[in-house]
Amino acid sequence: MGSVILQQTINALTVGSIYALIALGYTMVYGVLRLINFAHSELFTAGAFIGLGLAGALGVSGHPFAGVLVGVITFVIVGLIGVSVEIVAYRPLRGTSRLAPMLSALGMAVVIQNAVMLIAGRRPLIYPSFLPNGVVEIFGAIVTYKQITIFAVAVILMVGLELFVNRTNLGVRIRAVAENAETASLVGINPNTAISLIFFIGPGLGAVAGILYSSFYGVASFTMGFVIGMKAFTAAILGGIGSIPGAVLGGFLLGAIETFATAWMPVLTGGLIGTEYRDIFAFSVLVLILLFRPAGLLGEHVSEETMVYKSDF
Amino acid sequence: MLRFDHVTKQFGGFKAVDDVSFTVRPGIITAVIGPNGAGKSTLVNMAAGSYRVSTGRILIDDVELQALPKHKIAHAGLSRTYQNIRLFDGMSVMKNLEVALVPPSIGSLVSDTFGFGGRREAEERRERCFEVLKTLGLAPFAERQAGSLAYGQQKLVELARAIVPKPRVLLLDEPAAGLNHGETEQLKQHILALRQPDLAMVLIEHDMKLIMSISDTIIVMNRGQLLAEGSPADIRANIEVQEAYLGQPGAIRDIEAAARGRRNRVRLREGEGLTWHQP
Amino acid sequence: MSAKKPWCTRVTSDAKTTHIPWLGAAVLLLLPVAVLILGQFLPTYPLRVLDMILLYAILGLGLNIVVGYAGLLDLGFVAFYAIGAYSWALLASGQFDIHLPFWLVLIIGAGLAGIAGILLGIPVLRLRGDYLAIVTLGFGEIIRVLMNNLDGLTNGPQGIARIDEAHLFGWTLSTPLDFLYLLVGLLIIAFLFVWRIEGSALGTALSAVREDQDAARGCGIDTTRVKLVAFCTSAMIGGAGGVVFAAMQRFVSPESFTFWESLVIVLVIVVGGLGNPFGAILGATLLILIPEMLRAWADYRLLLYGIALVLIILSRPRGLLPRAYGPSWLMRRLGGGR
Repeated sequence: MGSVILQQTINALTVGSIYALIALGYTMVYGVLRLINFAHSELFTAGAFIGLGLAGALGVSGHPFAGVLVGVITFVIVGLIGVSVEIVAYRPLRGTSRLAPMLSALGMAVVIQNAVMLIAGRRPLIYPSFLPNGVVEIFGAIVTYKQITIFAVAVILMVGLELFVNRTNLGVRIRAVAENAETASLVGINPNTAISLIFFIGPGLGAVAGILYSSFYGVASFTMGFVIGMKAFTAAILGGIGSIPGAVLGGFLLGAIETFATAWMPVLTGGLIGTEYRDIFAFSVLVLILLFRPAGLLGEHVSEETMVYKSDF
Repeated sequence: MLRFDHVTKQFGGFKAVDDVSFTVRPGIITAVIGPNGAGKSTLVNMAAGSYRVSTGRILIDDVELQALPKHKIAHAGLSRTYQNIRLFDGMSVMKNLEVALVPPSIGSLVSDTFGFGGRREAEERRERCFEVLKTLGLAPFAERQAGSLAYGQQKLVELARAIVPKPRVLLLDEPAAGLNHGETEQLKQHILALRQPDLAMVLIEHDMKLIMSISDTIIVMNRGQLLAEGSPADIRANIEVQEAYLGQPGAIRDIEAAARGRRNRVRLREGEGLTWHQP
Repeated sequence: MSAKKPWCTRVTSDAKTTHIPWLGAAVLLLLPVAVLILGQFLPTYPLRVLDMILLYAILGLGLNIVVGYAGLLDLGFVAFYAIGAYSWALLASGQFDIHLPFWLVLIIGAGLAGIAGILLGIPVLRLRGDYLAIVTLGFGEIIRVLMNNLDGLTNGPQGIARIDEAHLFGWTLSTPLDFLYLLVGLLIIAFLFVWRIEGSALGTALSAVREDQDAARGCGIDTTRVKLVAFCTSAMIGGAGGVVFAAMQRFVSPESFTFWESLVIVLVIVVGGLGNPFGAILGATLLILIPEMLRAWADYRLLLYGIALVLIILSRPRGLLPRAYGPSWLMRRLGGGR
């Protein structure tokens, strides 16, 4: 019994790491522009496929060190795509309405998804594992090296991001722009630099998540971004949208909820609610949490007066 | 009648309003003055339901406002204008006013939409709005988009929107801020014309000349506390108030004299004595 | 702002006479008549496309109440559409051997969708609009997953086939031309309904919510409740659209109700012009016709579609027909009066 719970905790941490990495991209963009970047989930997919392409082009197969190399290059490439998407599709719409950039983002999501499909094909591809093979048994639970690596990579990236945002000059600029773009520009910070940086880091992290995800499951398909992206955004809200630690917490929490609910719901309901409902646990939890903590778990505490924005869109 | 009963508002460890009690009587204009940070706007925002009251009660007659959601405060008969104009920019001036007359119940909303006898009432509402626009000289702008009007006109539209539902308490939060001399004069006439036996008006202002000329009672606040209450003449005479508020004795007279002489408007900020505000 | 045009500055007279602008009314009536005449000459396939355009225009009008008037982003509209479609599929087919008349199911479908709208709206509408976007998106997925998995009720992924032919007061709806008549009729009703909302106190309240929620509450508007009314009304139109869709296809499966459908309906009104009933019609025409025309490019179709969308939004962020140029504007222009 204990080992089953431990096993599920480890599975939860693996899925949670990936949700958290993607959620970071959503939360950072949202924090600064109050924009749901619908293209983010497709950049996650693009990251997985670019990683795959690089592995072929560089002639490296599934080896951990090749993985690091591919990961870094993919981070940069997808980061640059993210920056260009912002410049082309979102920046011209800044200040028009909140709806227009969001729909432009939906349009970009369609474009990227179909570009991936045209290049890589409709059929799911077998993905080389960049992660080390092997297992270790801890108190009866089986932990693969893959899982350990995914968790470790995610933690390294998150700690790196935290240090970057809080300890470096550029990071402080980002926070200043997130706090108030107008004031930031008054003290000489160019908001566009900070925004571009966010659109570099967020998609970069998402791309790494894409490689990790596809390596773990061994396949990549051009449609895989949608559901994962939606869950990652849910994770971002769960933790408190706009908050970086919130995205991390939300990601791991969602991973846990999903893993445990999928495992236990069929047992608890006598098979009435089966594992096929996996994808909707997340939303049910989201609605429940919003009822009691509208700002998410780590979101700034909001009273009723600040809860309602001047206008929603 | 609007009554503040031992009202306190705490932001973290800071008491923005500290145990304030006073009554605003109908039929007269009550001005609330004090330096920036004295708690005037906090008071207005609590009455209008934008801030929650920490302790104490705010009442219109016997209705406790602090327990009501914001929209019900409006239905209880309280209207306000905002320090920073908050019109519905994309809508016409007329529609801006109509918002204040939207029937509260779902039933009347639905019957209005499908026109079961709602037409007449809708027409009456529009007539009421147009009447108010005419009295404030805004009739020519009725179909203009509110956001496209000049600043002074927008301020007047906001006033119009506040009086359309025939409120019993009207809170004016710095109505003259940013207006030029002529506009302020016009505003003054409009406010004086609004004085009715069943309307309690609260005026928060920095323009001392305007306050001295139109208010019947003045309440002075400082650091969240009630400092003095009295007629304009009493307040003018109250040296203590002058010291606390203006930092120097006799300042009000000086300001008025200067304002008359230079035809400039005067704005006061804490610790600055007085600053010239070019119209 | 686009509305700063000379005719807007004219003073409205406070005359009480309701002047009927005959020319405006005539122009508005001409359009459906033209569509019906066109329908007589079209072969089956283009006629089906025309039907789809009208159906999406109806859905667009419905969604416009929430997105265009109240300013809330609903990304799960397809859920209401699906509820309507499955209402007809379950209540008028061999699935449970229930065969209710079309008009009754039209009401039931709209009603069920409206109830779903209220149940979803109550927890979410008091929160930020962004949450609504993501929760409605999730709700759309939940409904689809349910339809995929509740095999006993919905037949799962296989869907429900052999749905009854629709009869409306002795009139059998079978050919695309029959549905053209029905859809034109429903579109006119939906159009007048939405236009009526726009001019009513509810429309005023919704616009105020869109412009400044806080000030709207200060003016005595119960924003949560008003949003709920909008959400429910819009869901009902979506549900009615779904019933017609199922009657038209005579086959439903979860595949027809993906996020993509919600997205297309949102884009219909954004491309056409938010808050403008004409916009929904124009948007539906473009968004159904463009993919038809891109059919030749097969695989590149969606890519080009996406690019076209981004370009339209970039060049006209307020849509092709902005809010100010709605039917009331047309009436003013053509009617001469007021």
